[in-house]
Formats: sequence, C-alpha cells, structure tokens
Amino acid sequence: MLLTAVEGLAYGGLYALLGLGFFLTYGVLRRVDLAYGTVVMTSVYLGAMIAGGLGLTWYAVLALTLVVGIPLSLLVAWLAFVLVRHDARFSMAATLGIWMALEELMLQSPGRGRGQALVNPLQDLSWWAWDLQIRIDHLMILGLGVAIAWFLARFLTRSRAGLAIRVSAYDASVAALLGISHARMMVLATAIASAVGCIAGWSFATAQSGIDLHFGMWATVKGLVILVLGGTQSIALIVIAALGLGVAERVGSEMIGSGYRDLVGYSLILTLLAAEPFLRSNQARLGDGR
Amino acid sequence: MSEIVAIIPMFSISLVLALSCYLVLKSGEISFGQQAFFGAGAYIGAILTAMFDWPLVAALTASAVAGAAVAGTLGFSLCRISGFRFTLVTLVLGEFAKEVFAKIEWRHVTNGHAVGPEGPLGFSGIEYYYTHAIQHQTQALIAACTAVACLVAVWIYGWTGPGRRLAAVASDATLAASVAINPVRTRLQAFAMAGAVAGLGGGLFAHQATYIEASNFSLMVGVHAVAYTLLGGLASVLGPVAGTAFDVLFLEGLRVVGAYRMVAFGSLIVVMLILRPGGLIGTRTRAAP
Repeated sequence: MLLTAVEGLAYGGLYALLGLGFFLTYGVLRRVDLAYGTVVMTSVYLGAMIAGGLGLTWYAVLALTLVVGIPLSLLVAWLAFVLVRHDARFSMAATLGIWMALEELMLQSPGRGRGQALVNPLQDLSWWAWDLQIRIDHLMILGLGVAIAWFLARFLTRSRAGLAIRVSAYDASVAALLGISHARMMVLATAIASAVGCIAGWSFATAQSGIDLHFGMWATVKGLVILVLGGTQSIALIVIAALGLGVAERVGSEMIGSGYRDLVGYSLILTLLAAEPFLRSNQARLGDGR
Repeated sequence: MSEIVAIIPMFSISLVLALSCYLVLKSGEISFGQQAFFGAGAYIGAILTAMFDWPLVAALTASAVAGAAVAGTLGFSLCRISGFRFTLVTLVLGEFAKEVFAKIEWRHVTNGHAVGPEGPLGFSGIEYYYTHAIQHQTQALIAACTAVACLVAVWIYGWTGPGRRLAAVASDATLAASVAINPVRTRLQAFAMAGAVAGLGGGLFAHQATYIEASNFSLMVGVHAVAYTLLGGLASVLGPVAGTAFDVLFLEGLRVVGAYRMVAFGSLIVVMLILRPGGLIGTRTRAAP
C-alpha cells in the first residue's frame, strides 16, 4: 500500500505540472483553454515522431516538443483569445474547434495516430528504501513538479516580469499606464504555460515509454480538475491537490481494482464538486464569474 | 437513395443530442456532459428491448425518462453552480459516466440467447429492428420523426412560461430572482428536459447501431453536440439544425474534404466565432407575442 502511495505521488507530480499550466492560463490569464492538453499531446507526438525518424537521442524529444509546442500555443492563444473577442464562452468554444482539428491532423500525420515510442533511459533504475522499490523516473517527475511549482511561485511573486504579467492580466489599462505591454506579457505567460505543459507531457510520455492521441483529452481533464480542486489563489494548493489526487486514485484503485482508477478519481471529484454548492461560503470562488 | 436513407438516422440522432445541448446553452451554460444522459438512455433502451422484449416505443419512452431522471437528480447540485465550474463539472460527469458504462455487466437469457452489457466488451445483440423486420426506410422515418418531435418540443418550450423564465435567468439570474423567478428551479426544469431529449436520442442510437460500448459516449461526442449548436447559432432551434446539417450532411455526407472532415469542421468553428459569432442562423431573435 505504501508503494502504491509513493507511485501515486509520482502521478501527483505529473498532475501538478498539468495543473500549473492551467493555473497560468486560467488563474493568471483568465483564459479557459480546452485545447491545452491537445497542444501538449501534439507537441510531444510530433517531437517523438521527428526524433524517431531522424534517429535522435531521447532528450532531443524535449527540445523538439518545446520548439513545436510554444509557437503552437501562441497561435492557439492568438486565434481563440485575441481574434475571438465577443464572449469568454466563445473563446472557450474556439479552443474546442482547435482541439478537434489538431487531433484529426495527428490522425492524418505520417504517424497515422499510432502510438509513438520514446526511449526511457531511467526505465530499469530503481531506488530501494525500507523494502520499497521506487522507480527513479517516477521520483524525477515528482521532483520536477515540485521544482517547477517553486520556480513559478517565485517568478510570479518576486520577479518584475511575473508581477507585470499579473498586473496586465488583472487590468490591461492599468498595465498600460505603468508602461507594461499587455500583449507582450500575455505572450510571455502563454509561452511559460506552454513550456510547463510540454515538460509535463514529455516527462510523462518518457516514463510511459510512448505517447498516443488519448493523452490530449486525458491531460485536459486532469489539469482542469486539479485547477478546480486546488483553486486559483495559490500554487501550493495546486501542488497539494495534485499530489492528493494522485495518491487517492492509486490507493483507491489498489483497494477496489486497477480498472477503477479513473472511476475512483472522478467519483471523488464529482462528490466534492456536487457537495460544494451546499457548503458554499461567502468567499469568491473559481467560476463564479465568466 | 440508399445513401440518403443511411444518413438520415445519423443526422437525426446528432440533431437530438445537439438540441439537448441547445437547451442547456439557452440557460446560459455550456455542458460537455450531455453524452452521459445520451448513454444512460442508450443502455436503458437497449436493456429493455434486447433483454426484456419491451416494445420500441415503451423502451424509447423509458430512455427519455431515464435521461430526465439522471439529469434531474444531478441538477439539484449542478443548477446551483454556473460558468466555468458548471462546464467543468459536466465534463467530469461525462467522463465518469463513460467509466460507469464500461463497468456495466448484466447478462440475461432471452429467446435462448444470453444478451446484455458485458462491461468493456460492450453491449451487442440489440436487434430489435432486425427481429421485427423493420426496413431501413422505416428506421430512417422513426429517427426523423423523433428528431422532429424533439425539435417541436424544444421550440414550443421556448414560447411557454418556463422557456421565457429560462431566458430571463440566462440573461440575468439576479434580476430574474427579483421578479419572483426561481433561477435554480427554472434551470433544473431545462436541465431535466435536456436530459430527456439526450436520453431519447441515446435510445434511438442504441437501436440504430445494434451495438454500443462506453467509447460511444466519450467526451468528444458531447463536444461535437455543443459545436453543432454554436456553429448554427443560439437564436432559434434552427441553429442546431443548421450546425448539424453542415457537418453531417455536407462534410460527412458529401465527403467534400475527405479524411480531413474534423480539421475542416474544427477550423470552421474558429472562423465562424471570429467572423460570425452568432452562428450560421444569426443572432436576431423575434420578440415573443
């Protein structure tokens, strides 16, 4: 059971990375980007396909993923959040259209939608602690999640660029009075959110030794769920929610069967979300505004 | 002619699900979980005809009731939230329902054969149309009549008291509450009706397909239904008709873009939202008499 909980923490690390990407897009930029997971999947998928075709080494996939992912995210943001300007719901719907188009493009790519293999250099490495065999790649994902969360928290609260992003997202006109370029800050924040997502997708795909088209939808759903559980006020809460969900899913599925992992996770989330309106306090919460 | 007969049921079922999304959108919310009620209707309808020899009309009625019951029950909590949180809960609900459908295992011996859902292996042997020798033309007619009935019901609903109260709540829930309209109850009524429409569509789908499995009720099904409605526009019930017709009849039926149908459809949604956010039908609404 303890080993299962530790494995759950590794998944929690991945969830934390996905949740952080959504934290930046929704919590900071106030954008609901449903194509986020699909953009990440597309970037990793193309990165793996190109690296496989050219015979490149495993870490080249990350570089290719970032090279594809960041411009693609900026394109999505421009189409859905700059050109579509009538209603936030319309922007969300535009990301849906992009999601559909990207998935189909991957199906029609030379990879034909088949899973793309990735080399996992840490696959056979384990660390023993108190009779527990812990995979090094799982530890790496957990460490990566915590490290990036720490970096992002510092960046958003301590750096000039981070503060400028927050001011710009809060009120573009105030940002302009302070000499901050709203457009430039949005581009910077989108690029960071994309980079975090690409790192999450790449690390997960590497740990799994491959990626397929299902990852996009899965990543979007998990990332949004973490965002709702953790809220939009604190990066620490995002990490705690992600780790908690990872452990709860793993331990729950261990107790009632491995085929029930997602069911356990969704049940927990639905119970929390369904009970929430009856427990609501006067505090402002996520989603009350459009 | 045979191609038209083949595409009518597909168009009708897609339209029924789009109408379900339209009802929710008219309440001011976006639901990505209507496929959960669609799936509930499909499983209930299929179980009743394949396992218990119910007549089709009774089974489809039960599908609609099941959809309404599930939506109404969940609506007690769902209709108290709004915006992004509502959308997200419906999204999780859809994925949860898909997982539940993949776990349903229930076999029953009917006419000497064991039939029923087999968990992840799906539910085969839904052969009502074949055992009752219902021709393809009649199947298409049943589907078309069901879609038209749903269309008329949703249109009439918009002109009745509950429909007008829903429009008021969607426009401004606080203002509506100040004139004695209960926003939660109003939205709950619409959500239950949307569940009934989706459940009916699911029952129809199960009998048309003869085989159903959990992946038939994936998130993408719900996303498509929302996309049809947004593409067509929310001004009237003709919006979902136009959106569904454009995808199912034009892109799929005529195969004008070949294998790149979803690329074209997804791109078109983005282009429409940029250039014509009111959808194909437009945004102008006629004042109620």
